Amino acid sequence: MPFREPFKPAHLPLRHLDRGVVQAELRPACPADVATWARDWQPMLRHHGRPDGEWPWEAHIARAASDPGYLCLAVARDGALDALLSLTAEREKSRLDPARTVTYVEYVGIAPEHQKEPVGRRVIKGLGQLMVEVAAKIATAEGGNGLVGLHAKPDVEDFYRHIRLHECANEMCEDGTWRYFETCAFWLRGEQLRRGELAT
Amino acid sequence: MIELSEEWLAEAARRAAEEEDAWIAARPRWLTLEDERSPLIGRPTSVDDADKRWAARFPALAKHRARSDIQRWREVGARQDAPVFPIFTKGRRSAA
Repeated sequence: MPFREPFKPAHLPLRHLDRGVVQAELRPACPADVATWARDWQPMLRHHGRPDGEWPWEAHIARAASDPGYLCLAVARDGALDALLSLTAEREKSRLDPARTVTYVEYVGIAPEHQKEPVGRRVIKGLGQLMVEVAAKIATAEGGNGLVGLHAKPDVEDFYRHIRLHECANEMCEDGTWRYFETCAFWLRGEQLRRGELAT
Repeated sequence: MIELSEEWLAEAARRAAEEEDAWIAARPRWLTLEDERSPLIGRPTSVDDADKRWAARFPALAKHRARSDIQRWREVGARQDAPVFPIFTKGRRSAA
């Protein structure tokens, strides 16, 4: 299902290592975010030889602005850009249920200062998992089937295992061979049950 | 309108931060400067050197799990300014 409806911006509190709780906003990414990414993220990511220093956020944000099949979200506060998420509506086939399609996570970008050492010092923690959960939540919204898929870079495979996504096979993609992970509509509910947050 | 509840977002952010802490604590650590100076570990001087160091230190892992790291070294590991390379010295994989 394409993202026909606009995304409504929402506020959320985040715990900042130096400043305590700060208020951020989750909203559709805009062209100004590209400039912020190039100024604040890219030099540090390139310095560390990170692949996310070359990700095409400008193209993804522009595409999402004009095509309802795509959605780019940003977590921002006080002029700072903390995280980016690029989603493609249900086009790619599910590996768990090939009769259905997944909401595909193209990229999850986290500001260098929020990444673990040696890139950053985790000034705001948990943004990667939060963005994946946001993707899963969106995938279940408006009658979506809740299937979410992504290809993981090698250094974050363990992260996706840790948050209990289904690990599928290595797959050849345009930019390399990466491990595919997928999750279904029951993942978020299962996570809540596991933590005892639901009564049933 | 695609709308996420702010209460859900706040709770998800809080929980994600806690879980990331747990993940970082449980996963293998990155090299420190002291490790880099160690003749046993040290900084790889080339891609082949990185492959050899890894295989010598973790023979049981060298054929599968380490492959992705070695693949990454092929991209950045031989650069002089490559800051660190990952090495498993803690956690359950240290038994390998």
